[in-house]
Amino acid sequence: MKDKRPEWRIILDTLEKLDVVLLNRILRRMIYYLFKLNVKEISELIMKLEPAKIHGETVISNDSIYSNMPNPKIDIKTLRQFTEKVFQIAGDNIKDGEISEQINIWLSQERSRFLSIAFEDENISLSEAKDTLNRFMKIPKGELFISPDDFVNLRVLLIRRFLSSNLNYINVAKHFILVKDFNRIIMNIIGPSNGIGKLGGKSAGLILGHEIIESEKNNIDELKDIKVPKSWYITTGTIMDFVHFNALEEITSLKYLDTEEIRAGYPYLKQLFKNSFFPQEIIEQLDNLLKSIGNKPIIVRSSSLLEDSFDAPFSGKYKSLFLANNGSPEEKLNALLDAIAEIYASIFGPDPIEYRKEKGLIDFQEKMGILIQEVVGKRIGKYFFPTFAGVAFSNNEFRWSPRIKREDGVVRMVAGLGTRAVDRVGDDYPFLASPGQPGLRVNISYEDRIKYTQKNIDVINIESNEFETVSADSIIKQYGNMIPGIEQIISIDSGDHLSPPVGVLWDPEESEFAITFENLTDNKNFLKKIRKILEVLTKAFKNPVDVEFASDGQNLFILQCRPQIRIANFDSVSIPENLDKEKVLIRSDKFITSGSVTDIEYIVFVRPEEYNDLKNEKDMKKVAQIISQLNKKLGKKNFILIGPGRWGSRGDIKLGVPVTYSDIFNTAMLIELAYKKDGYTPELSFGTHFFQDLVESNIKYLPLYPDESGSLFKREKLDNVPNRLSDFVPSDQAMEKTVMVIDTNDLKKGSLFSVLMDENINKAVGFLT
Amino acid sequence: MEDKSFNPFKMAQQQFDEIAEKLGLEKGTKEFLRTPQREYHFTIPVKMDDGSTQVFQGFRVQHNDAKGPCKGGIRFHPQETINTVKALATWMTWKCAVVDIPLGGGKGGVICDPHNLSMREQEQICRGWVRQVARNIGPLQDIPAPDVMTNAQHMLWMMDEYEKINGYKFPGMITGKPVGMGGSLGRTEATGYGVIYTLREAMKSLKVDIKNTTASFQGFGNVSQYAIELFHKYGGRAISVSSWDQEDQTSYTFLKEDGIDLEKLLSITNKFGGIDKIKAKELGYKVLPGDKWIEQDVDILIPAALENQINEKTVANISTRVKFISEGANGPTTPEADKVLDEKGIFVIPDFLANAGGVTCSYFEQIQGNMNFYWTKEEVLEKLDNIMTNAFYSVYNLSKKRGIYMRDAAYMIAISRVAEASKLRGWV
Repeated sequence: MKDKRPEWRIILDTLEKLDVVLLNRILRRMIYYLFKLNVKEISELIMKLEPAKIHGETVISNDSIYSNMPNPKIDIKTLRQFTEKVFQIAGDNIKDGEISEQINIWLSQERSRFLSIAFEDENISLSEAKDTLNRFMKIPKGELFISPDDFVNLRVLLIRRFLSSNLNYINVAKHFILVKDFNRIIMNIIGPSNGIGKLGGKSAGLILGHEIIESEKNNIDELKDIKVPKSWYITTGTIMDFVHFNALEEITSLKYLDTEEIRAGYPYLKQLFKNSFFPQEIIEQLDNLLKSIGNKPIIVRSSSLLEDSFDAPFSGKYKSLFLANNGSPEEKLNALLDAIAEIYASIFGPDPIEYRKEKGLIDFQEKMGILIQEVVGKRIGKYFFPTFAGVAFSNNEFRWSPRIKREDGVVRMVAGLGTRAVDRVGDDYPFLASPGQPGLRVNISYEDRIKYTQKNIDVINIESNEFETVSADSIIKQYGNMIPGIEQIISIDSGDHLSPPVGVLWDPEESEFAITFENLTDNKNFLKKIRKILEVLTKAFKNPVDVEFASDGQNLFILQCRPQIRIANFDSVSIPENLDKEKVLIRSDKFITSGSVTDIEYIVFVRPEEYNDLKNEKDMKKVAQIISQLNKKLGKKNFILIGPGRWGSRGDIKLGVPVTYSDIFNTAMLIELAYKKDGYTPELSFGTHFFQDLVESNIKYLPLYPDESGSLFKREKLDNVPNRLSDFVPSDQAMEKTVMVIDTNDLKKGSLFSVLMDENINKAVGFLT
Repeated sequence: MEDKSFNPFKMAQQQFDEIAEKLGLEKGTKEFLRTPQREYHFTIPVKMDDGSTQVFQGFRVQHNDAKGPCKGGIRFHPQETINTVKALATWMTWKCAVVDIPLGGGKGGVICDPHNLSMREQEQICRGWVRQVARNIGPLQDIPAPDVMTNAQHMLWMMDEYEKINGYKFPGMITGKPVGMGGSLGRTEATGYGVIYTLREAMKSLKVDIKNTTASFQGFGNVSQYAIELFHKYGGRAISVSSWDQEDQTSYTFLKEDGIDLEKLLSITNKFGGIDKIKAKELGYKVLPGDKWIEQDVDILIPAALENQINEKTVANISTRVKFISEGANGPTTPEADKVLDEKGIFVIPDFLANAGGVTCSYFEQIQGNMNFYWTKEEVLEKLDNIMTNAFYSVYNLSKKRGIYMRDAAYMIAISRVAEASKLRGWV
């Protein structure tokens, strides 16, 4: 006899017997479905389920009544009746076919649920994670039914397991990193198979950045050929295994020692790590990895949990090591293990520990993941290096022209490995450009352009297996045209002007040249590309970003991506709200760049009127000489300079004291005063003449417009204290009138001077402490 | 209210007035020579990269063209003033006149800050500048050149705009162009060689054999390097040279008593004239403080770096052996030091004579451009030698005859020449 029940009834009845849990999930979905269809009876049914008494009367239930007490529990019998009621309502309101179809979809979705079930457990082991994900990916497309919300949930679970528990990170990443991406990523994860642990901050940032760019590739032309180098990730679980394997547990408490003790013991600790052993399982995985890489050089980078910089600014504190990856398989493996061990040890280095203590991060259980990347570049002769590399920031904190806005961004780049662009290198100059104002250059004159140019290139020496710094001149002269895209980054130096290398008219061996990036930036495509990358990532991250990149002369690779919290050595600064007005000497709200100088003992003040009144150039130069002598006497970063117009003026030196970098290199800060003159406020230099020197030596810069509202400069305070000039340099009366050396102790007993600048609110304040 | 700030044009006029007084020029001539003949003030509207329009203020001053077309640079400077441009145009007139090349003095500028301008915007300023004065400049009227914050690229844009307006090629309308694009060979050598050509003649005149003389140089840039090369060729011996050390942010004097080996020294010198002090020591150089170059026991001092190096203080340290100073730099000697040098009987070849090789070579560039035919380097240098030598003798002869200091003689001869040309034309 044919069963007269509709198909969906048969399914439900079967489920009731076989799998009540599944039946309940189907029930829940049906309730939501009925809600969605606005079926009135279902709302009434639900309300009846939760009756509540207020002032003795039964009222319609709503959640708020129970907000501060547990909901009353409903017994099983009622629940079963309730189930029956729900499906009855469904049968009354929806066609049988539709119900059957929905239930079948839900049942199919249930079949794919094993993945989320597995990853609900945050401690799922690496091998199980791999297997589960693999099984999931093998479900044929036609059979995979997952609701969109389940998909989001799945992505969040995977992100939390491998990348980050940081809610800000997850909130962005869940929109971009897909389940299928994880299947690709997981193939490149190295770690103990029964181990837990994430990939660490640097890897998480790179993966997110990469996926954001991938997701926009079809819409944005500039992103089409952006690549990411092949990357592998060692989990943070690996270091824990390493520590246990070598019985190094006691070192975790080392971080609570005094910094000096840590510093003293660190060399030994590093050797201890380097002489420890890796578990066989890790060695095998790394060995396989090296086999798949072949002979390409690699970079081994820290990727610790704290480097997850969505919250805590923590970058550049740990090591990144280049490996030539050349030699016998055994040599290559040993070099890699050695590098990993060294990076592990750097968790316990005195500088990162000191920094963590400062920032209140010391109690965090820091774990180190590792990011291994193929180095972008080409082998040229015995060297390996990218044609150029650098770092780009969405927010420009090095504005060299008032036309450049903060959101125009900045790129710092160099020929060769990007190390010289990322770190400050004392006597060398990376190229700076602002992608939002691609035409504005830091250095304009021929002399400045060849003076402030990169002189040395960082490379990997394949033969000696070493990271090396070689002179740009020698490497370009030797290899010239073999370096792909070399004509993009150099200009020919004819002795009195620079011109682009064209066709066969330049000969690397014969021509003199300078690294100017002129061709690369002149056609603006490159800077447009960088700008687009910054724009897309900033939008997705909902935060300014910083991105490391490299190019082999053909393709542009993204090496690292993270929210921009600090730039290089500039810590973020916040200005205290209620400063005592009496103590404040300087305020400004124009062209502010974040930074701070603190504990200043002396203010060197060149009085604008008196300077302007100096009769001849000789006297103005004398002022510069006095500044130069003070620079030597007052001590490093112990004083600031305040003076009229353009510090470092050449030509018309009445515009400002004609100092050069060598006269002021010890100063902590340079303040340029622009007083209105005949209704006209002169343009300030933004330190242009030696801008790069200021940047490279971390001298802060503040333009001050005392006549404008929003600015404050309490001159009278400075005028009314004794001039200490003659304590430091022999001087005459005329000079004493012009140059003042102010001991902050004279302004207020026991006081030092500080200047805080916060570009986020575009405010700067200088005050006595 | 009197403007107390420094006015360079006033200073140029005062300088002129003093010399004119000595020359006894009549009132009309004085009045004529102390004022520029023509001043052009104009605006240059530029469409900026962001679509907005910015209007720049441009100038061209033609101080005096009695001796020939005006010649002088174009400056891009944010605080450019007409007084600066007028002063510099005046000085150009005297500079051309002292070497007796048939050119007058001019100068121009635009109030702008190239640091805040893209190359495209700078190009528009250059072209706009030319459009405004195209009728008043040109190879037969006024020939601009690079100056503060302008370079060969700016010159080529300006030349191109000028040619577009006129419909013909005029490589001689502007100088400072790259070789191959209308530039002249020999420009790098010109200033340094000029310093030595005049020195050579000075020694000849005072009957000192240049062979076996020794010299100390301040600076090791272009000027010094070529000056040493030629000095050695004539048999002299440079024994010390000072050079800026970028790393130490100070200068050093490199002393080698038995003489500098230029080629070896150049091999350890960077593009900026910085000598590697460690390698220099290996080569047997004594590395002394930067200011020691002036104290060396030599026959000749050649300041070829900075202004005000021979001043009240340092002049006292000059060795009694020193008999000649040839000024490669601009303004290396202060007026106070000049007095002492005069008393000591040291023979000074003043800056605007000694280092006029540069402007002379610009003149050659203009001539070659006008002919559209370019000389070999040897030809350029030979002609340079002739001009510098003649220039030296007219100044020297005057100085000797009247018993006046070389610097005063140079000014007097320059101003006299321009006055004479103006008279012959019937202007004054």
